[in-house]
Amino acid sequence: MAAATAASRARALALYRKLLRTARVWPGPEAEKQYIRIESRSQFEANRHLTKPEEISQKIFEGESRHDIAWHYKIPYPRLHNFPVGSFTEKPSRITGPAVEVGYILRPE
Amino acid sequence: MPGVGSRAGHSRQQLSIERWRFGGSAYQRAEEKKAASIYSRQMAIISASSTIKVAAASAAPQRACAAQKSSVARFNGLKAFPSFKQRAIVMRPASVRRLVISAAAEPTTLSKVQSIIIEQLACEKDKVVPEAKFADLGADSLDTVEIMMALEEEFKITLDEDNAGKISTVQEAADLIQSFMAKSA
Repeated sequence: MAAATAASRARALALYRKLLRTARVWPGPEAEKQYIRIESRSQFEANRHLTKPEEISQKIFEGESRHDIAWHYKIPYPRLHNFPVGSFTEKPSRITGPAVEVGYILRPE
Repeated sequence: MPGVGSRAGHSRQQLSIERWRFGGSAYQRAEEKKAASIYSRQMAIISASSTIKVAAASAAPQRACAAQKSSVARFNGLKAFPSFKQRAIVMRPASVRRLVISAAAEPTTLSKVQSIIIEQLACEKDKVVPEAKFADLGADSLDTVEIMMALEEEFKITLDEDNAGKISTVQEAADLIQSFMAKSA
């Protein structure tokens, strides 16, 4: 989150604030609220080192889409796929493992 | 318990002091009802006339705790008159009279802000002075956002984003909260 510009920094912090407010009013068990807080914090920490603006906006878009999907289904946990969405493999040995759906097919802006 | 025996003589004293200091509250009426059944009428009159001069006493938390603990009174061995020499009367201006029911004094906005910051950042109490910046206390921007959210929850207000982004010191946060509380109140 070492944002290249002040605008992307403000967007990232606004997203974090939105996620914390979501965690506060989440209609579900306390464990899910804790999950939202912990997951948002850990994801932001993991992407702290990004510097390129397109990467940063991509990650912010992923965060926003996870937030919207969670509210839509009332499930804070992301949907898992056996394959990354949009991939085609012939040989099963090339399977990389379960992937998280983050809605990256749509291009932001 | 070693403490109880030495304090038994003080307990009735302090209870009467506490009763007459908290002027006119429900706590006082409840305490009076409780004590009226135990104290003799003579005892109450004596305490009233002698303790009515006592304004704010020092070491209020300690006495409040002792009064609370001993309010399930150990009133056996009731002496006829309280010992007057135990009362160190300190004349203070009447404006100092505060309603202190629990052990802690009423916290101000700044002290509440400080306690929340200490809890969130797990730093020492001495470092959180009003002029301390969040960055100096070891808080990055994510921690600052979390602190703002905790303050929102504590004071039941909603800080908007532009103001929240400009906060850098503890004193600014307290001022912003007070301005919001004044607006909503």
